[in-house]
Amino acid sequence: MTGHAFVEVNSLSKAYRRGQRIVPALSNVSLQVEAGEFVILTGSSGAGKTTLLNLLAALDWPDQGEIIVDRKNIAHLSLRSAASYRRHQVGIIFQAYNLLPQLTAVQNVALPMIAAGRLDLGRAKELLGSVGLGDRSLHRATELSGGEQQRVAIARALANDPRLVLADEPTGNLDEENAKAIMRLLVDSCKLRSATLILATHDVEHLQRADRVFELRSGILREQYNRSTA
Amino acid sequence: MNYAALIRSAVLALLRNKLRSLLTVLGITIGIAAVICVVAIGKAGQARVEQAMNKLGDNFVWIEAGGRSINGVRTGTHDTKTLVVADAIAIKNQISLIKSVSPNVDDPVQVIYGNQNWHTSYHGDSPEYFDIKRWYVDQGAIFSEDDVDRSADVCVIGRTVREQLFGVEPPVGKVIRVNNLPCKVVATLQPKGLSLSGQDQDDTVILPYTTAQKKIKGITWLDDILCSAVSQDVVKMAGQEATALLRDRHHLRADEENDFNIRNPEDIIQAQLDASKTLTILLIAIASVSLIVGGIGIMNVMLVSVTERTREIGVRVAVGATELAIQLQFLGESIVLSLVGGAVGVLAGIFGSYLVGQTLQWPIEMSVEAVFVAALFSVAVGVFFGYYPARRASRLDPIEAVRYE
Repeated sequence: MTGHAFVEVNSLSKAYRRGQRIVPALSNVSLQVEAGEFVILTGSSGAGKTTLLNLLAALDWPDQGEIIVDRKNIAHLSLRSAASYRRHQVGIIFQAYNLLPQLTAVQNVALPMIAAGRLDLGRAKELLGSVGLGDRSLHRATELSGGEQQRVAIARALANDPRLVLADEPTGNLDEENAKAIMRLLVDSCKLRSATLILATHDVEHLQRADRVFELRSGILREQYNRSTA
Repeated sequence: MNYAALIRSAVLALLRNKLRSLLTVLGITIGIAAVICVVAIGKAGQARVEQAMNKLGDNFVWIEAGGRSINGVRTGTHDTKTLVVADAIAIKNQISLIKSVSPNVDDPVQVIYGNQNWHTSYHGDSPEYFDIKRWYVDQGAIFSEDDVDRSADVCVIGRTVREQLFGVEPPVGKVIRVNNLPCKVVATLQPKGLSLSGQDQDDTVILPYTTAQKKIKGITWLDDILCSAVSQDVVKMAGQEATALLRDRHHLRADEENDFNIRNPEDIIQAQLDASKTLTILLIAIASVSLIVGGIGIMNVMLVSVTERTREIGVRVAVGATELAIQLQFLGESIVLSLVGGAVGVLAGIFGSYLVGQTLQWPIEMSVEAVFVAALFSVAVGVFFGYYPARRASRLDPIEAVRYE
């Protein structure tokens, strides 16, 4: 434990109960991520990538270990504190976009602002412009293509200027061309804001842009690539 | 918390399923309208009974000649000759709980004016009778004690007799024949309408009891003594004191039954009033059941809504919405549903009450309290039946929720 990393995960374990069986998802995982770094988590389906991202988002609680984000242990936050942490520190991007279909693009972007009690539609429109959808702000989510929906989801994740962006297979539902564009947009947007990006994917195409790459295999984390030592 | 935004978001969410929301609102509307209608109609019924009680007399104590049964044989009231004017005077002088007394003799009679005749009933009384029975003069002036002393041939007529004999002609000063006795009409009475038993109270001719005794009926005794107690609370006690006094005056032994009876028409009306109140409460309880059913409808719809919007809830939690915010979102929707239902229900209830009032010719009076309580109750229904679905929504596992298909 260095005490300087923006995200520190120490000896983290998590298991799920499946009927009578206990299925380990993460076993003694440790990880340090510096502020502004872009880290990719790879691994096959069921390796524990999503579990780790959920724990980093304080959507779930670990069985053991600690998760320190910006010098604060978020491993066992109360529901209220976890919500506050997500509002102010974290932006989440899902594989399935998860936009609210009844809302327009700009309203979807504004959702985290509403949760934080500081709605600013002007800024929401600005964010949409920054992901290339300035002219689609009043379109409902259902009227947008998959690539466009994921762009809206990126804008939504950045709405409250989070210092940590967690993306779970953000290009998993997109074709190759769209996937590349989305990836470029996501990484550039995070770099521009000095936000730390932790991205789970099993698509090797994106690895070369990452600062570091970790592989999760059967719940165990191993560093595979480090730009600074490559 | 921005409540305006909360309500706006709730309304928008509800408008996404217009028919479903409308049907849910209808449940509450029916419940609230039913409660308001029942309260209004119940109150009108009570007002009607109270009105009848008021018209009956001023703390009325009615002493009727004749026992209920003597030696197992009902004697009737008009064959007993023991009740006399001296009894009335004794009651007036000796029972402090009684403030007014009027001897009374009555019978059916034919009255004639010109070529008009009408079958009615007469009452021979003292001037105090008008206060005891709460009769108010319309035209003219009632007869006096002097008229009673002189057995004057004067009479006061009710609205029905007036209409039957005189039509639009002014009756005061005219002479009618009461069972062949020419009597001068000195006053007419304001109408009282029908009694609760359906009798036309205005179909009456009132004259001095001495005139009725001597010149029409030819008797020296009385049919009744009508009294007013000093207050409602002492009506019963005044009756008991009058009983004791009359038994003493009539020299009745302890084992002998009364040769008179104290009648308590107010008790009957009071019983009707109590029954009416009980019935109203019962009907409110039944109407409340429909309100509860409406509330269950809200709960059902909200539970469906929570299930349908599981993914939305997961997303909102993921972007930092608190448990409370999620709860308020769904609670807001259920409160909007019940409030709209309540508002429409209040209007429907007011309209329905007036419709029933018009049909039954009852004096419907809207109760502001009932409307206020109904509105409050509709919010309470929204909160009560919306709480569980809202809580369920706020307790969803966000990880599972965002994956929900």
